[in-house]
Amino acid sequence: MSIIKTIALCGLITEPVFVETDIAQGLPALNLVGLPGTTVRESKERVRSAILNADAQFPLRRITVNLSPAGARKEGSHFDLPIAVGILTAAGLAGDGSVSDSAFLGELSLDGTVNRIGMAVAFVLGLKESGVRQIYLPAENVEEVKPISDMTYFPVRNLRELIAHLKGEELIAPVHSDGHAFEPLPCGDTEEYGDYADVRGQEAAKRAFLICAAGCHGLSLCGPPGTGKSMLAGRLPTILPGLTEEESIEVTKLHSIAGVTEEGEAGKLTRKRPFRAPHHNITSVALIGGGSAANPGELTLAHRGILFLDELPEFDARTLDMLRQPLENGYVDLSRADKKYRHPCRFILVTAMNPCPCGYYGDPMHCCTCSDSRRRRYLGRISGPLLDRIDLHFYLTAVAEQELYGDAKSLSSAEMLAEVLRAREVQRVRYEGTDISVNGELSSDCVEEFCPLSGEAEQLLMDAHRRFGLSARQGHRIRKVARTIADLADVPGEIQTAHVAEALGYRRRDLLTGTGVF
Amino acid sequence: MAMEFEARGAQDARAAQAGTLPPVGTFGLGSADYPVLLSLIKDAPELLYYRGDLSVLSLPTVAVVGSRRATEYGKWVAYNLGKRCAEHGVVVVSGMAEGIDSYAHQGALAGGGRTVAVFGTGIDICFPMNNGGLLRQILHDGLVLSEYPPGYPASKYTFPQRNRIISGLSYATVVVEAAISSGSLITAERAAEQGREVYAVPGNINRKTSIGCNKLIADGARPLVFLDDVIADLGIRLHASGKKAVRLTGLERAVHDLVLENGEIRPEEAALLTRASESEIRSAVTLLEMKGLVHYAAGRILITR
Repeated sequence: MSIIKTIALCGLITEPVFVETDIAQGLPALNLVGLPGTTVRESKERVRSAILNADAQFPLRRITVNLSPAGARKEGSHFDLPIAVGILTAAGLAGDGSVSDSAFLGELSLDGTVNRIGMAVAFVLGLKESGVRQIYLPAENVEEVKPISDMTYFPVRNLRELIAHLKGEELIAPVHSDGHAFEPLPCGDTEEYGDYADVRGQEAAKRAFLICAAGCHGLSLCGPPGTGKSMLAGRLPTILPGLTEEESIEVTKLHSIAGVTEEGEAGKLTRKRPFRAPHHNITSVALIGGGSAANPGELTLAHRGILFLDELPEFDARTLDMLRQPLENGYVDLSRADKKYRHPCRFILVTAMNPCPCGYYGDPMHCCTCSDSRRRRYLGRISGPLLDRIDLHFYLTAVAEQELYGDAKSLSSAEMLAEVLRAREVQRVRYEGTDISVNGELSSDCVEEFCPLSGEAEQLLMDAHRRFGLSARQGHRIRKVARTIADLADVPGEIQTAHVAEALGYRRRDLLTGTGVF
Repeated sequence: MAMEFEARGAQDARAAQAGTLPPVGTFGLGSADYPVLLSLIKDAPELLYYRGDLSVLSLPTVAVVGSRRATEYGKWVAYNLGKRCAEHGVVVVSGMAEGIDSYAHQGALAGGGRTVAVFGTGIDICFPMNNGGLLRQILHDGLVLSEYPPGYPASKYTFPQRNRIISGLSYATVVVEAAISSGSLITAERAAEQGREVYAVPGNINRKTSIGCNKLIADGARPLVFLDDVIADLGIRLHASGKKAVRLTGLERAVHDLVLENGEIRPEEAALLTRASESEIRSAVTLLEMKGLVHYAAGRILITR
């Protein structure tokens, strides 16, 4: 009997698994129990061939392999190696079983080669949490997990080498994690995303993006085609601070599980903030997450980064409505028959849309061909409660007179980033010791505490409630935005009238009639 | 067909009895209720169905019509023209179509005045359907007319037919926005044939929705230079438009002046011209909005008054 440690994935949570192998007298058989998924069930055949092709003996007795805890479903090809090692150890063919403090991960080829596995970072982080410090894993995966501190890895190329190592004949050289190799990315990578300085004549929009980045507020853009909505949104990463080590590990793990590690990022902790821009025909499952294994959706992949939804009204209305709860809470709850899963999703939501189907409503140069009823239908696809959950609303207009802006100053990403970092510092000091990090995360019951208004500002907000017919929720959002505007102006205390007035300028307006109008 | 109409009428009568809608009445050419202005036109309808308060028809009337595909500018003109008329006791006549018509009715109601909607369908049909809220208000504070019996469906010819009643009921007809093939031009044509004054709101010559209006002016319609022109030409003495003096800061005044000068302006332009920051401009616009002087729609600052 042998017990080998490995790990399984359950939603986004990893759980240690013990591979118990018992060899008893009886007709030759290999039974695999403990709720194995299809890939794991098939590993029987791979393990048998791999052991034989590694010139080892496959015990011709009754072998029972149990994956404990037996009640949780197991998926993934990384169970091959622990099962093979379990059988060999139980049969006394691979050392004396002094590997109980190590864990094994790896997929086997029929010839005994150990293949690269997916989600290695997530598995190693999970094993580290459960107290394991030594891991045998495919040689090809070592690079990507090396940045995880305090670990020792044994890179395994094939089963033959592993058997020799376990017997103590020829040892595999261990690789130690290179500890604190994490360097935060110098923020504002304008090479890759472009610089805000390239967007001319849209200074008011840049101001909205500045507030959005400084306080992590959602931003909804509306405007005719060609006004630079996507261009502005695509540059948002250049004015956000880089990922911290903690955030990086979190994001790397999520992306590792979803198998979306970017080209060139494999083998490293992710240093780039996620920027997810799903196409508008995305299904609700792909957006929110789902499937029998509760796979993470785009919301979760955008965790700690940006989710950009271009052409908002083209998205399926029901899919969009599913954004409501995650936007409010910062996580997605998925219920499956056996379990409930909670996936994190704290991201900055940026949406873009045209004001009407033809796109030119309100444009001075082009004529809009849409009737009010057509516009009503188009705009009606987005539910009010969803828009209500977005803090900033901005309407972009075409730059009509190029020459007017010819030599006007265009704010650059570097200048904007400096302001964002200053405002973030003000917020860091304010929220020291709480679990809030930015103004955008404030829940409505914290608003009163952290967003105090000066007497005059309070009066203005009350008048605005009446005049513009604001809901209580909109009022809270305006206060949060005003908080960020005050932080940008380096006013950490009471929010002043000018800040509230500016914040009111980003309130949600009725796009159909241009309310406030009459 | 007739039976069907009657059945519909019966349903309607029940709704009226339940107190939800005023009852449908009729009056014929030659009856005391028949408005004199309308009786003067050559193809005056023999019979009119109505709902609401007939006394509205004894007041001075102006028709405000225009495109269903209205711009923010057109909506502003329609609304404020309706409102100014209402403030001077002038009844606004229109067709309750979407776009300009609806905004004219709304302006009149907001100004505390009376308004008349002339339908191109049976009097019990709300067309367009989503104007139900407006219809209820009109029934409460005004009058709905139609020459078609209850239940009569909308068709291609009923609306142009109806237009002669809109212009025929009114001393003057204002076309706010019209494209080159707009139904509002038919109303203007009828008004001219009926010998009534036609006004057209001049617009940007590059804009399709204003070409019809500009062409009307070329053909001899009076350009509407000030909103109050219509009212003054009816011989009604103008009273000041409840403008109260408001106190403005230096920047607010500068922005307000810029908007007054240009009609509409992008906030970026205002920032450049006043040398203020984007954030100062946005605050100033909010405060001006609160004071009711400007409004911000479709990314532009527009004048409210």
